[in-house]
Parts: sequence; structure tokens; C-alpha cells
Amino acid sequence: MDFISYFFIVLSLFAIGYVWYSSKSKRRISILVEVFFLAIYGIVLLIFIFPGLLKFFEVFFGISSAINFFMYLAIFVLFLIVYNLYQKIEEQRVEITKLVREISLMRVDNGNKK
Amino acid sequence: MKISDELKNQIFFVIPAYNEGNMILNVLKKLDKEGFKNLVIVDDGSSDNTFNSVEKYKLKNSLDDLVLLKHIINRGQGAALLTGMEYARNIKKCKYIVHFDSDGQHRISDLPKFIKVLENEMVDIVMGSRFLNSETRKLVPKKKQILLKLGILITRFLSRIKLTDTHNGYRVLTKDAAGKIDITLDGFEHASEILDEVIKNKLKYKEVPVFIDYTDYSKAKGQKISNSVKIFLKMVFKN
Repeated sequence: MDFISYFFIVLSLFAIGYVWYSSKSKRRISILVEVFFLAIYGIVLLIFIFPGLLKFFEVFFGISSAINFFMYLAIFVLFLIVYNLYQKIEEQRVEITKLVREISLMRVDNGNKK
Repeated sequence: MKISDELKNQIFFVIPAYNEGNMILNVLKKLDKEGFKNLVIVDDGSSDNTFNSVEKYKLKNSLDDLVLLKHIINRGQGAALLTGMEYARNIKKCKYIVHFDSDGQHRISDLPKFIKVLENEMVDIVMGSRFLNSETRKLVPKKKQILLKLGILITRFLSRIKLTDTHNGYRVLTKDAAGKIDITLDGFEHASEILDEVIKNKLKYKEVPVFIDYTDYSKAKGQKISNSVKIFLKMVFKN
């Protein structure tokens, strides 16, 4: 096993620990997102511990380079996540505006009733 | 056309204000002088003295019909307009809602033209235009004219609406029309969204020529080219 493999094993373990710790703390996100990230880092960990898995993958799916395949897949998934985040931010922007509007109208109504 | 006192009492001005502490009182004084009492000011989370100065002005002049709404954080002109409209259209006596700028760009003397169209024709919304005649066009700086013309072409293409000035903030609409218009885009791009809403709700519209006074102050506060690009992108992706 070379240095880069050890490096990524430590990094993946750290990432898994971090997601696990976050899930137990107050800063927790939705359970689906936690499972998703745990799975991603788990796969990375397995690949670096058992490099033969990549060979098996290449033979099984008939592709020349499993590393390249995973790289492209990772970029695609990352863009999808970013898009999803933008969508969530946009939904929250609309909700915040509604809230701000309600508060301002409520305050005036209360002022008028006094 | 002279607007009667009875009609003036049914006209509500919605004035969004963001850091306009220096200018807004001039606008309010002018409106008060012309006999318009129903003023809905929406302070859009200003960090200057906008809210306090309007509040003091209201108390000092005993303007009971002046309503001051406050957004606790800045949400943009579109959001502030909708807040003001929501308030105004729930007032029983309200017949028309005027979108009016707080930086002194709009002239009250143009208002009778809007009201005349609304009173005499079956129209839901009347929009101001800087390009309907040469006199009003003259006041628009050349650079701004190019940018606006480009905006008009794009809006015509995206919204399928035939207007000579698509980004003019001076509008008057009936109470019913105000209830149909939903603004979800908070910033300056609301102008395009209003046009989309006009088409979507099949509202009858018309334009009247208006003078826009470009002062150094209003030019400094006005839209930048980067904003126009942002508006364009939001319009494309919303359509």
C-alpha cells in the first residue's frame, strides 16, 4: 500500500467520524443526507483498503478505467448536489420574504388596534 | 383631468424605501401638498434613519392615514412593493394603488393621466412609459436608453407583451388587479415579473407617458449594468 492510499484512508475515516459526530450533535442535518455522505466516504474507504475492488468493477462492467468512471460520476453528483442546494436556498429566500412580510403587516395591525 | 378629493381619498400610494432617509420626506411633503393622504411606506430594512424620519414626520403633521411598514431585514424592492400592496388592498376604501418611487424620480403631475385611463377605459393596470413621446424620452440619459431598449426587446420576446417601457416603476392598478399580482422575485427583477403576471392573469393594460427625473442622487442609487444581467438571467430561468 502506498502513501496516497494511507492518506485517503485516514481522510475517509476522518470524514466518516465527522459526519457521525455531526449526526449526534446539535448541528445535525437530515438523516438521508447523513446516510448519503456516510455511504460516499465508506465507498472511498473500501476502494483504498481493497484496490482489487476497482479491478473487479472494471471487469464486471467492461470499462477500461474505473477511477476515471468514478471521477466523472463524482463531478456529476457534485453538480447535482450544488443545484439542489441552490433550489433549497431559493425556497428559503421565498419563505423568509413571506415571514418578513407577515411580521411587518402584523406589527402595523397591532399598532392600529392599540 | 383634475382628480377629485373623493377620488384622492381612494388612491393609495405604495412607496418602498431603502436607505432613503434624505429624500423620502421631500416626496411625502409633495404628496401631502397635493392632497394625497393615503400613503403606505415600506421601509425595506434600511440601515439609515428612514423609518425614524418618516415616523417623526407622521407624528409632527398628524398624518393618521400615513402607514409605515417595516421589513426587519432588507428583502428588495419587489418584496417591499408586495407588502405595501397587501396592506393597501385590504383597506375597504382603496380603489387604486400607485407604485411610486421614494427617491423623487416620479412626478405627481403625471398621475392624472393614469387615473383618466383607469376611470374612462376598462383597464386593470396603467404603466408609465419614458418612450411614448419625445418630450419624456429627452430626460432619459443616452446610456440608460440603450440599456432600457435592450431590456424592452428581451422582455417582449420572453413575456410576449408589447410595451414601450418595460422597466418603469410608475404604475397604477386597480385593487382587484393588485390582488391577482403575485411578486416572488424580491429585487429589481419584479418589474419583469409584474408583466408576466399581467399576461398570466389576462389583465388589460395601457401605457401613458411619464417624466422620470434623473438626478445625481437617483442615478447613483439606480440600477447598474451587473444588475441588468442578473435581471435578464432571472427572467430567462423563470420563464
